Amino acid sequence: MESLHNSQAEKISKNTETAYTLYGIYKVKDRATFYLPNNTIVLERATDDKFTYRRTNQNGTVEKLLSIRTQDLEMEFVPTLPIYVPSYKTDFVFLRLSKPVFVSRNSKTEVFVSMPIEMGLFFTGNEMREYFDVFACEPSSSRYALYGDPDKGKLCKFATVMPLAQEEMARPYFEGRLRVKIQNELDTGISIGKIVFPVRDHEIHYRYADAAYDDLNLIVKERLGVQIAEVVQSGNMPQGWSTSPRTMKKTDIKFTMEMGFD
Amino acid sequence: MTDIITGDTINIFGHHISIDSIIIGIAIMAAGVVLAKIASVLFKKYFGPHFEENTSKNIGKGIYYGIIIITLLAVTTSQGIDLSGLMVAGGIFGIVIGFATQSVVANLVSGIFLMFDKPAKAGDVIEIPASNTTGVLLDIAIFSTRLRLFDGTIMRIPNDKIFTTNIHNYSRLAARRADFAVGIAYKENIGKAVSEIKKAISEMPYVLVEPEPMVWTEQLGESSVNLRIYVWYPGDSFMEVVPTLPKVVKEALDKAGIEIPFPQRTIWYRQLPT
Repeated sequence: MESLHNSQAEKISKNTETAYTLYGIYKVKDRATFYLPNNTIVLERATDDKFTYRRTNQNGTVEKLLSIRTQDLEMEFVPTLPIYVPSYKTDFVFLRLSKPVFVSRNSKTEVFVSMPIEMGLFFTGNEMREYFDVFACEPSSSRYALYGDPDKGKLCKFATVMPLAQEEMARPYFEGRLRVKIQNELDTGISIGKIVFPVRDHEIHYRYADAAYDDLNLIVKERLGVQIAEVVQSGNMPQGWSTSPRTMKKTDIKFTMEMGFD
Repeated sequence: MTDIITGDTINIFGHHISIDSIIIGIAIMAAGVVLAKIASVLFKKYFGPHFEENTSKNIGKGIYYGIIIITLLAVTTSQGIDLSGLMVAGGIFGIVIGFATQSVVANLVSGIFLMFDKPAKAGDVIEIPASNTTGVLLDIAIFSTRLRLFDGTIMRIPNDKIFTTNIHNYSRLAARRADFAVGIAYKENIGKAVSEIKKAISEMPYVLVEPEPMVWTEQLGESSVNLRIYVWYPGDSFMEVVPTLPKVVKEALDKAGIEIPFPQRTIWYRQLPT
């Protein structure tokens, strides 16, 4: 296994107790093994243009045959959006804050949360790509929730997150950092207990075993006598980081939480 | 025969039309058919994707037959054929036919209303309680609606039946609720049973975290304390949750050593004096 883009990629993460494979772009000539929490991936050349792919975890082994266009298998192992496991059903994420955030009237603040990520394996190539495998290192935390009513509400991927006053490193391979900028335009203080937003517009940036999402802006205002919260993604790529490939186009959607945020 | 064809003209409804003119009429009709087909195909290709599958199909058909009818009228008018006599006869005939084909017309009108009402779209799972039928909606056509039942067979239902009955649409909901009851023995601790059940179902990946699963003590039954379990799941994940739920609950209770009793009756008897 060799890296195409930087020598760091060949190194093994020192941030975790066990030595795990770092995110990055890899070129596999004949055989490679990726070590991840609860998962081991083995890639092995079958023929000139095919590789066998085996991912083993406590639930069993996932096997695939990969047909490649290049002489060697050129692939990218990256953090990806947490919407594919156990199956792709929604673009929305529902973050339940383990403790509410109180924001005074007409003021701004920002909090940091660690949000789940999934692991994606992509062939290198164009900007828009299809993964050949995606999985979660902690599949038991991949859950769903409903925001609003069953008929008009949104089905969301769910996570309980702890709001932090300062940025901290997220658990490698399990979570990515997300900064939430909250602006309260109301004349009263508000308590934010949940955040719902379409995650498909977010980029995920990575470096070594660390992952970070684009920022999220949350503006609380009143519309027709109802308190609502507008949520929209805003790009924020840290210097020296790479961006994970996208599997779907951006929509630049501004989602409005009309069914409560406490 | 000589009355119909005289020289190079043909007598149609009392009008003498030249053979050349008829050939031109046929050519116009053929061109109309081709134009109708092209217009229908172009609509389906470029505009169809913007509509629902059924609506797209029906508009395509409407365009096709609309152009055919317009072409037919253009041909008859260009040939100087007066259709007023035919229309009077057709009107009387239409009344007769109308009485004889009431159900067909009812299906047609219901089909048109269903296209506007849109109770379901192709691919939705719907239930028609009146006929105890559940299946995947294939299409709503002009006269009938087709469902693919879960045994793989296709059922055709007249549109007026669909329009005038209740329909449960299971596919348009973000989430649905399932519930089922389980009994535990009177000697068991209800709180412990509820806790074990909640713990087990909260580990099912498609059971929603919010709204959270609920377990109620529903009834003090004859042989058991009956608990009712309510869980929410994604609208399209019926098969991942509902068939598995009883198994998960039973395994959880078995693992915790909580008895699920069968119906039993205690019989007291008196010893007769000897």
